[in-house]
Amino acid sequence: MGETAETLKEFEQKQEWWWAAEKKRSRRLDYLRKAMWKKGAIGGLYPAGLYIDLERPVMQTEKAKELEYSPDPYVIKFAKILAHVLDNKTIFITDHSQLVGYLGSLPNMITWDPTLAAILNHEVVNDPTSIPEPMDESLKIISEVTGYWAGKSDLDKILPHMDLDDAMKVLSGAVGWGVPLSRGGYSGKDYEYIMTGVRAFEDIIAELDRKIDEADEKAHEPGATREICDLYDKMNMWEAMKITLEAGIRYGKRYARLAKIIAENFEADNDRRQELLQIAEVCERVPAKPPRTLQESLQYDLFIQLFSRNEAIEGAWPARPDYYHGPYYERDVNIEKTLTKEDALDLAGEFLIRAAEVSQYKVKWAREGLQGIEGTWVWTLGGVKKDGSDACNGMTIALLQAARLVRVANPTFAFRWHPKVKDNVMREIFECIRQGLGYPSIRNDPILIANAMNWHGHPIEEARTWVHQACMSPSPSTKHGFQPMRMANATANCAKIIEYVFTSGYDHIVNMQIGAETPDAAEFTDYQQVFDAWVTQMKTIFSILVRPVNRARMLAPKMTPRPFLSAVSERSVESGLDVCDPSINRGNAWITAFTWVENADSLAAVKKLVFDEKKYTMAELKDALANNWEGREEMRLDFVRNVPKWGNDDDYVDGIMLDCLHAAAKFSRELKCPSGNNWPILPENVSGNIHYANIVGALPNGRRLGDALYDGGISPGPGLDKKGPTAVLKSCSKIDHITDGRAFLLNQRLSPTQLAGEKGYQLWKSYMKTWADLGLDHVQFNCVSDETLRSAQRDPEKYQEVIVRVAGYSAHFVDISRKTQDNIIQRTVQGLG
Amino acid sequence: MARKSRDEYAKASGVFGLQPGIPPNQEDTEKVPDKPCGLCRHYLESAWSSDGRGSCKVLKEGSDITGDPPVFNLEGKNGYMLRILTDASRCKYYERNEFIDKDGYECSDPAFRRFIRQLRDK
Amino acid sequence: MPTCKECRKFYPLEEDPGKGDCVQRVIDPRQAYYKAKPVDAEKDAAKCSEFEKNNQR
Repeated sequence: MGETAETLKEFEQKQEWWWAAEKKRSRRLDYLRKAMWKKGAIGGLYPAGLYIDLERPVMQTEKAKELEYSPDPYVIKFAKILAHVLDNKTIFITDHSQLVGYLGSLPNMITWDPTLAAILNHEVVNDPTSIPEPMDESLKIISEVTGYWAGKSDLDKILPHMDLDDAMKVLSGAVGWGVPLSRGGYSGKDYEYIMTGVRAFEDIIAELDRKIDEADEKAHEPGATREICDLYDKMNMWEAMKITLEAGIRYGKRYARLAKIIAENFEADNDRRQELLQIAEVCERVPAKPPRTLQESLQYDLFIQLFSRNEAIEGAWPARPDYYHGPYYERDVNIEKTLTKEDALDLAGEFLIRAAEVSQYKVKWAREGLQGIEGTWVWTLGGVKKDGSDACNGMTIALLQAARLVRVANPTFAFRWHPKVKDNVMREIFECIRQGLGYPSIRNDPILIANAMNWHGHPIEEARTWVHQACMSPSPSTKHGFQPMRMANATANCAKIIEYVFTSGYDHIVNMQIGAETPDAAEFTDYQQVFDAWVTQMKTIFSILVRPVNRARMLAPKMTPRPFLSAVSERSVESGLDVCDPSINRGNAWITAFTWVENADSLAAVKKLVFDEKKYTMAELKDALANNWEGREEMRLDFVRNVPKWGNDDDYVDGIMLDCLHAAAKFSRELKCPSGNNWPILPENVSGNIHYANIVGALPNGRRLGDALYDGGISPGPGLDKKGPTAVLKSCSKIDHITDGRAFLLNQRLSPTQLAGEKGYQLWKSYMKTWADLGLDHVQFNCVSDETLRSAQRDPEKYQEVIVRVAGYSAHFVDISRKTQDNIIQRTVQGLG
Repeated sequence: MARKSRDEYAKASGVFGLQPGIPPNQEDTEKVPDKPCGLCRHYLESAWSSDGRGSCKVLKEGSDITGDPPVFNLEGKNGYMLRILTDASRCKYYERNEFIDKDGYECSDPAFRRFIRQLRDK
Repeated sequence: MPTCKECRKFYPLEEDPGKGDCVQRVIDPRQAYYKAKPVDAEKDAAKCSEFEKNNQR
């Protein structure tokens, strides 16, 4: 024991937090953490030991064939296929676990949903690392499944109904990043309906039965109206919802039965036997009935998340676990004392692990853009309650502590900071940052509540329930406020805006006319003409991306319905309409703006060197860019070194950044979602700056084709913020974080040495005060030294557990490509104080 | 601006996934020609998906490298769309690429990465 | 022809003994677990490598 304590101290002193965590955590958490199969792709490929799960696609295909000529409408067939999978898939219970459920049939399996897109299925055919042995047998199955779903999958059905020009431009991969599909993106949840302990699946089923009976009666009264016609569809939708909920209850009971079988037939250890019987009791209870304890509440949440991911590929995990599980923590730990703090910590830690292992096979753009993780599981902590009071509770602390013990890269946390947050909570947050997790990111709650009201008109009580729908964007978790699907298709590779100014919209990388045919840049005689062309290209690219999403959203209720997500959404249970139906949603759309800052730096360079100083002509610059700066290194360095760069509190370039944002914000109010609401922009990157490195041509900020792009949001270019952290904050504070866009990501690197001890905490707190006073909405920190990161590059085996903040998410350093690693190391380490 | 015909879009369908086309046949997806486009230095894999789509950086729309005789069009704006396993044995512009990333894990540039299973041993 | 119901890994449903679960212990490179898969009692188990005759049932 003494030896362990000493070793722990040594690890802490050396800031090797990953080894310290191993010493600190319980035996159970240690086992479960090491038992976890990490699922994130490395570079663009799944790591060794993971395999594509063929069980589910075979079951889906079998059931679909069986139902092909049945008289059921599509939504009911779809629900029956989902139920068939839940009823028949292999389930498992890991030793020492207390929470159960996984998407795949075995822990190292990546699920593949063949019903989404033929092109995804072709990727499975071509996959070089994850097809299970025996290969011939697997390829035969994959070929049969892929053949069956060709033309029947969602994207195949939807695309012919899109504008074909837009569709081709999106699918070129040059300007957009995602699919316009209601079953592929980021699904919000109506937590206010389903997670408040008031109701669970049986209650909703009873409500659905009432709805169906009432509608049926009405449909057979004398008369024939449009309303009666609509009831037929609604009754089908309600029936489909019920099928999925009933299947969910049966799925829970399957786990109850397995836990009981293990306890009664296999388990020799009495304590574990009791735990298994406890699991059985929990799974008999939830999701059928509302949870009563923390374990039931976490299990219930986990089941809901898994069912939703059985229905769709969900690339994010919008959640507020401290807010919704907090009351159960309070009752079990503090009031009834049925659970010790340590036991609660075990449950919180295991909940993180269960989320971390969730996996769904994704297309290349998603794997490369989200290197090292499975999706952006950014969980929201803190914030205020609907009445404006502090929402932090014991579960907030437990989750922050558990994160440091299990050190998973995904989920990560984003903390809703507000002036009433207590010091003990801030210290827990600081510990997570100091110990190099890269999370929580800090969000400015008052600013973002005002922002949600400004952009989307959410009432204040609803705005206060906001969760991160993906990495960054707030969305309420209320009946009309939550967004059932944010389609990642509306993610713009914004560096193309400035690139297309110089090519009149022609994309030389993918050989297509994608942007607007603006006049020849070589002929521009003043800066205003450059900026006007920039605005035209910006509007064109945003429109190309938004139109398919709007269209898909309108088609979704009929062509790609989501009966399960509808069943756990009050507005759908009430109305009988699919959850994506725009008429019952307020709208919370946003355009994710990848590679944004390159525009400001490039425009500043053009303005200064071409028009102010007249050192070069537009024709020379256009030619240099077309030739990727080849033979013009001196000129290129001029564009890199001798112009103002964003992030140094320099009004010359900061003013241009504001011009760009204001133009985008104005256009955001002209772009409308099918619910009639706005499309504000949200600058952030994930690892798109690496994915797009070879897709974006040379730029006037001196960047060459192939160079990594900036790390994103409103973060300055790596190494270009030379005037210290306050200058970065001041530049960023010139942006109005309420009206200029939906949110703005800011990466900062801090020195682990400087953050040591109480002094480190006070330095950070003072930095955070400046950040809050200046009205920024987001900041996140990397706090791992260059030395550690370089060592990890040299000797990855020894540094498997080092975590870094990539963009809106964290990843294990060894799981990201060398180019991304280098990009993180190049970011300026800011000294505080 | 006149709307393009569906036939014009169909030409690009194999590349941009607008139509599923003929369901894949296992024999075809496994057949690797001696000179597949995917191993040529002028081939650019789709930025979006690894389902096998891509374009040629030299030839333009209107080319037909699998025809007899083949057609090489170097003029025009839009690129010539191909698939990784397209047989390029008749293409006079074919140049075998040197790969930097032999197993596909590291390099983010598709032009220098061996990504597709069928080409792993090539 | 051996059937699943004759196997010691078969656990019949109380309400429908014609159906049940095949429950197996698995130890993979990272973790140990029990897995269950629904099967019909009468399913042909002749080619099942996991089949173990249950002499108790």
